[in-house]
Amino acid sequence: MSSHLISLMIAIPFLGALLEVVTPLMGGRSTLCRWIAITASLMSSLVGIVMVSSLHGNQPGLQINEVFNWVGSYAMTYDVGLDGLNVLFVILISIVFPLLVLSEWNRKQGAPGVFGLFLLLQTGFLGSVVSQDLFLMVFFWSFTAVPLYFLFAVWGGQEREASAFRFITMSALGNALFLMALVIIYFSVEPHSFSIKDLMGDRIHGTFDLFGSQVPIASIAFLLLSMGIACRLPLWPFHGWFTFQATQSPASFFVLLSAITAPIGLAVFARLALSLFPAEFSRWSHVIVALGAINVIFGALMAVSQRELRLLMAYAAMTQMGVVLVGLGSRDSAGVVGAIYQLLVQGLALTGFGFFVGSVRDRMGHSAFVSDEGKPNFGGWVAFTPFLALLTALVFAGMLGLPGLGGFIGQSLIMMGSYSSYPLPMTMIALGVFLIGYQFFSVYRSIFLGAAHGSDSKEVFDLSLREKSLILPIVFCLIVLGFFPRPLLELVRPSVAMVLSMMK
Amino acid sequence: MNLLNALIPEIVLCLTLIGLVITETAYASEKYRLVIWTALLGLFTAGVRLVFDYALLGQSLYDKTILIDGVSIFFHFLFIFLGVLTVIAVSFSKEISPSRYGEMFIFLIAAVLTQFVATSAGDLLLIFVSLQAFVALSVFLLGADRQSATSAEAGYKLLVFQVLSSFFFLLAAAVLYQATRSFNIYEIKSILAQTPLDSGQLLIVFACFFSSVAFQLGIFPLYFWTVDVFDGAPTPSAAYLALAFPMTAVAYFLRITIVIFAGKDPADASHFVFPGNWGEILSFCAGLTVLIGALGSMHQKSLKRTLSYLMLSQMGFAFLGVVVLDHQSLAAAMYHWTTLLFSVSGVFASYSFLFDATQSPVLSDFRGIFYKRPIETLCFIVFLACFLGLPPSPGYLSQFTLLDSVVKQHRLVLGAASVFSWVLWIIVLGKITFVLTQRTDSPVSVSADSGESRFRRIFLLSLMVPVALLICFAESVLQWTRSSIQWVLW
Repeated sequence: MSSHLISLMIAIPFLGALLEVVTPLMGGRSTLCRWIAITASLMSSLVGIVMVSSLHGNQPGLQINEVFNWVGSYAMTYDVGLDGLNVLFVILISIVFPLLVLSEWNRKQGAPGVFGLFLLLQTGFLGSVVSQDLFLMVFFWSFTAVPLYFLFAVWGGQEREASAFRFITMSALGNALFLMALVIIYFSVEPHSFSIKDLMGDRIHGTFDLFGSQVPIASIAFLLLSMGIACRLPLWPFHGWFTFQATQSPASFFVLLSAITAPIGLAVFARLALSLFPAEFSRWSHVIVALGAINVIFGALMAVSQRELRLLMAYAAMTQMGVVLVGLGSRDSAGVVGAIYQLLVQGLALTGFGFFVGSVRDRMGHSAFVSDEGKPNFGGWVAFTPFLALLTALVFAGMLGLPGLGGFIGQSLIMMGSYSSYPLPMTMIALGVFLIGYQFFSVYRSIFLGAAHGSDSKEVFDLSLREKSLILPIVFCLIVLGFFPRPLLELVRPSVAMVLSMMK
Repeated sequence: MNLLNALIPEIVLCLTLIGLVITETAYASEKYRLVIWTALLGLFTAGVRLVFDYALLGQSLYDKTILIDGVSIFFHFLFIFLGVLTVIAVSFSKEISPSRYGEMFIFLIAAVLTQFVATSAGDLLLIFVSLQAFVALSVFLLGADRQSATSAEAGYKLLVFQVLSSFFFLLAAAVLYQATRSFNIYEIKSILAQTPLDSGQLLIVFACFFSSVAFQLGIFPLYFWTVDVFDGAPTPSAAYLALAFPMTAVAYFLRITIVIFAGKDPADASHFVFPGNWGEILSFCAGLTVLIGALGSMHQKSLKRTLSYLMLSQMGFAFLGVVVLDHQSLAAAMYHWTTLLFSVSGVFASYSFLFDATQSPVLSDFRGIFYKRPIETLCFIVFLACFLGLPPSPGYLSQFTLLDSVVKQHRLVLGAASVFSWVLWIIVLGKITFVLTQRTDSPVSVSADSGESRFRRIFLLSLMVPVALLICFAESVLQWTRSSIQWVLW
């Protein structure tokens, strides 16, 4: 397998975005814009899937790798590669981005801008997950905040100014902390290096004089890195911007945050924390697990009290993030593999949920399923929208981790890996999943079941061909991930075992 | 012959000046176009000839009065690029009447010539004279729009503060002359090696040199003129002077500091140290400048004033490289200047085109202009992102290289202040971008698109090529800057 393919996968969306920039000079027709976008996105995805399918199971380390010198005097290399720790996220991006382009297919206003920014994001996120050089990773990860900001600021909701401002402030803060961690890491090793391979396994030594006490540099770098990434994720107590964004963004844009940024952010954290800071990760694992458990309970309790589908989605995403954090913090092979697997499932399921929310808003103009008086706004949709009802049920089931769907595998592995070390957080997770499940069933019942009211068959119609093509692939993937997890787990497990062995 | 050979770029610029005067006076009907092409041709020819100066590296003229080294050639290239970009920006801007092109370009080429002399001079008196000429020409450039009170006021402010700057420079030179009986920096160095200045003299000399440079760079505490001047000047002049002053100041300050004052760090041969506590004082001033600029930019109602504050903040950041004073930081600072050259030119050029459409500098008057002038607005945002160091721009890389140097020298507070300012810049960028791209029920009224708009857009888009090259070939540019800085030590 040619190593150039990995660069091709990153470069194609970027070239597509450049083409989108010049489309206004060619008349700016939305037809041209969307075809450029879907072609570039699909081509990149195709290259990604081809590479993933060529990987061999039970093989730790990089299987496809491309390296060349970029800024040699600062030890910066263009080093990108595929291994078990990032392969699932390449799959996630390859599946979700073409669907996102498709979800905005009928956009008339600002088509070049929206599609161009989607493509830039595809490049940015792919670059973030495949980077094997720390500077390159920070470079791509920090870059992703820019297109997201433009999407929220230009095409957001009524209060897009405030929501975009909150987003960019938190992102800038997070990226700055990440940058500080990067500089500290760079200077703490001799010879200076950004290569993750060179930095693996507690290479960061030395102490830093902080108000008279000697603090290990590794601790400072680890905390800065963790805080930097946390600022950009839906994590308690930094989640305020995220839930506000949920109420202001179109569904497809919010999918970018909840189903792409959140899993990719945790993937970046997992790679760096496990590889670069095994000792620090062990020391802080109890805090990580506690934070995860708080997120689960907080997200679930908040989700139960929501009347709006977008906010429900936001808090469900928080809950899922908590579950994954507990898995990562377990430091057990099954728990960490489950956490990485769950990130893929969570990304797909939240994408499906986002498309469902978009479908409801397209039909009703809002997504509040309960009125301010506490009465259901919708009901009996199953009679008009049987296909939507079926696919939504499967997406909900995927998120809840019901057997036969991907979430079951991920959550089971996390529980298996974490229960022996952290029984209390696992109990909290079970409680959180129960609460979320209760809320999902309530939502499903109030929208699809019961007597029809608040709407009729004229305004509530079943999924169009385009809408089916959005949700069906997601459901298909969730089922495949539920029934045939082994090939992917076998790709992830050896790499996880390798990084965990450094910890033990 | 050898002497003439070394001065060919300067001679070409002189010939261009003569050509411009003839064109301005003799060809009344075609002079607008002719002056543009004459100026561009002159700058281009001088730039091409500069390449051959590398064959003369290490030589000097008139007993080390004019030096041909890597630093001077590097900055000469930047001045040529800046001159070319300014000529193009002026010719597209509606802020300057075409009838003023001739005089504007004459002042501009003459200013480039004085910058050439100031950056390659090894004699304090020659530096002083060339700086005086440069200041006088800059005043005319700033006051290009004589009908505008703000433009004239900017010119006067610049004159007053630069006279102060010159005074400090002259005072320092006089004290050095009194102690060494020489104006040549290399002679001064050799004499001082045998009979050093006493601490009082050293304090006066260095404080005066620093004050002179601080005025020109706009470094704390002598920064207060910069924002008013950039805000009041016609945009192409502001862009030119925002870069020309600090670049010239840094070039001669670097030379004087390294040759006369800096001693080699005993622990690290590649690192120089300032005399006394000046290293810490300069760090403090640079850090405060970065912060003041960043904080000041957050509360402005005028877009141009916001840009001026951001420019001030960037000046402080660029000065970090000089403060750290080792090979790596100086090379990083020069890379940063190269990045700033294109990003600042892009920012001001695209702002100028947007300003032509709105005829108002107030930020809220640009609301939703993205939908009326998409290419110009997009270019403005991209160049601003590069200017402020957002990835994937070369600005991010250049700021990282500077930050790297700062942290390497354990100036962690300075590093933290820089990163904090970076967060503020991003927030300001977000605020500006939001206004430009905001949909509104009462869309901004803009003047009709002129026939020149296509050429303007091509200019802006083509300006992105060097920006992209700077990130792709960062290592090559850094090698160039590193090799350039070596020569200042010969």
